[in-house]
Amino acid sequence: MNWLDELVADVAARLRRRPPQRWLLRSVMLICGAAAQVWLNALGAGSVLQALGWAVLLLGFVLPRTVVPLVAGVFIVFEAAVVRVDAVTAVPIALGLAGWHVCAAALTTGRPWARLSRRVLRGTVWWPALLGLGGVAVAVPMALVADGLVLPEIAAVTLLLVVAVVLGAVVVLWPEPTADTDRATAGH
Amino acid sequence: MQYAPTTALARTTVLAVVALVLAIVNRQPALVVIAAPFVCGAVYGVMRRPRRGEPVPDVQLSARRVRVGEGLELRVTAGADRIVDVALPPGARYDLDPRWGAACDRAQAAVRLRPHRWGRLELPDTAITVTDTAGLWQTHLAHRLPEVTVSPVAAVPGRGDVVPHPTGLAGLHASRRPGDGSALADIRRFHPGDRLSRVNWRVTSRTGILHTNATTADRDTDVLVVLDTLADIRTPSEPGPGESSLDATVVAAASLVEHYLRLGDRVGVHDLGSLIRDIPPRSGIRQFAAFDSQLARARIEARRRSFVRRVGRMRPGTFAVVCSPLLDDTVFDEIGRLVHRGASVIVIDTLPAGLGVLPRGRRALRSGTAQLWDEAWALRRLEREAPIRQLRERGVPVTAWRGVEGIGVLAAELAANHARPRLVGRPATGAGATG
Repeated sequence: MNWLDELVADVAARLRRRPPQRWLLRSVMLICGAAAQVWLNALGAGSVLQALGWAVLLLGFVLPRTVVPLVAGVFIVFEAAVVRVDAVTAVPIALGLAGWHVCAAALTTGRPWARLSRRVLRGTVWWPALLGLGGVAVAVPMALVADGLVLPEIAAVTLLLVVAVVLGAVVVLWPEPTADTDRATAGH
Repeated sequence: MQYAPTTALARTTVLAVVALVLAIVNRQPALVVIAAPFVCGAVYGVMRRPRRGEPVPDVQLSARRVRVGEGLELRVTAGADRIVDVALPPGARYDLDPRWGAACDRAQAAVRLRPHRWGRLELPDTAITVTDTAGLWQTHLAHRLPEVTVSPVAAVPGRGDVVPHPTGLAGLHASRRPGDGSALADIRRFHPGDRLSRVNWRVTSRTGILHTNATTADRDTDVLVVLDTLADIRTPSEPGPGESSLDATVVAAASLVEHYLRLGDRVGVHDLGSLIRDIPPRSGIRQFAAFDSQLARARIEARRRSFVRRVGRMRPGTFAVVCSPLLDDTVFDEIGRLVHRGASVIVIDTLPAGLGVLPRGRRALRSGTAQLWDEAWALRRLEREAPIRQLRERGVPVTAWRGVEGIGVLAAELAANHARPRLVGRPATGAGATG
């Protein structure tokens, strides 16, 4: 059982190194994700979807610095699509998911055992949260209006917007060549 | 510096795209409400992309030379709109604040460390991460830190007290030999060659014949402090600074060097191991600075020599103080050689007092390796008794280190030993030696 003792001791040491502030952020992250999932359950999500949703949420709580929070977010979006939410009932899901994402972003700032100052939290938590709230506030009336429109026109406009966003993100986020890369491609 | 998107930016972009695509495919405009915060986040991240050519953060170490127990600070400074994360791995020779060596703050972050052992301290590379304030763009750097030299602290009781010198010749003590000095010995007639500044005008005016003050010589002698850095024995139940034989040896040696230099003696240092180089006898407090500097630059972990480096040239009558845990037979041999060469020798035992002391009562019921350790060291202490007794029979006082005032007692004992008959010949050393 030596390897098990060492594993438990290593995990306990890692947990002990985390400052209380990080545990608070994790708790808020879990509460936000759980709120979105509970709302989806209330809207009639199937039992399989519920179980999988809770599983990825708990896994995201344990591993916030990995790709798991993204997987959990995508799963909640899929659940919302399956449940066929409307513009108003989508608001709690949007807010919960935004809170989940913002807390995960704060947890990936700095070393896991580093204490974050208030100024850091202001930039990584409060400003993105306010931006998200503003986005939801603008999107709700747009979605209500879009609900009453004829489908093909909306589909075309939305499709164009999505393509523009995706292409723009690809172009803008593509890493720029560095000076070393230029020298290498020039054959020096 | 080249920045890269963080997982947060990637996550916000992917969630925005997935929600928007699902809104089109499923013909559910309500999903745009879910996508909205992430679209805003993605656009915000794109707008805040750092420019190329941003200067690297400034890394400063507050000091390159400190004393044991003093702290120094590692500070990393970036732009006002950047989050700096600095991490210094924990090490055995220093304490960190914050405890785990990581600090994250806006514009600048600092980690403080306090060495708790003397010598040359090689700090590991520090990992620095610079992020924008929204946590969407990030870059990583590794910075090599310079070496830090840590001087030992000789904070012992009795420091600075005047201690009688055993051979009677010191900067503060007059000898009985006439010569150029500061202590008045006689008033005699002036001879050609005497200093005019010492003419005693009162006696001259009374007698009508030129008289001068005669003094006794102010002479110094060589004090040789011998360190035994071959062993570094720690007490396992009392970890921390100053609980090893090597630390006790160095503290004792540093105290003695400083003390006798302040008395005006010429002090030299010899290391029986390989930790520091020999320091030839000189007077003046700068000699202590040279010794302190050697110790601060010493690499404790790099000690490899396993045999004794003999003392070189030495004037007869040198006062030698040997600081050693007395675990090596060759060290006893070298002490015998010093006595044979005419030095007045005092030995300071620097083996930790708590080592090899068997607990009694309930504490004696310790199990496993701890009890074996205590018993082994108790046996080792018994093995040392015979050669130590032989040294004492030869007139070499041996005592544990108790501060500089303890040296005064030994010095008086040594002076008394000069008049007593002593055992001649080199003592037989090693376990099992008799008589």
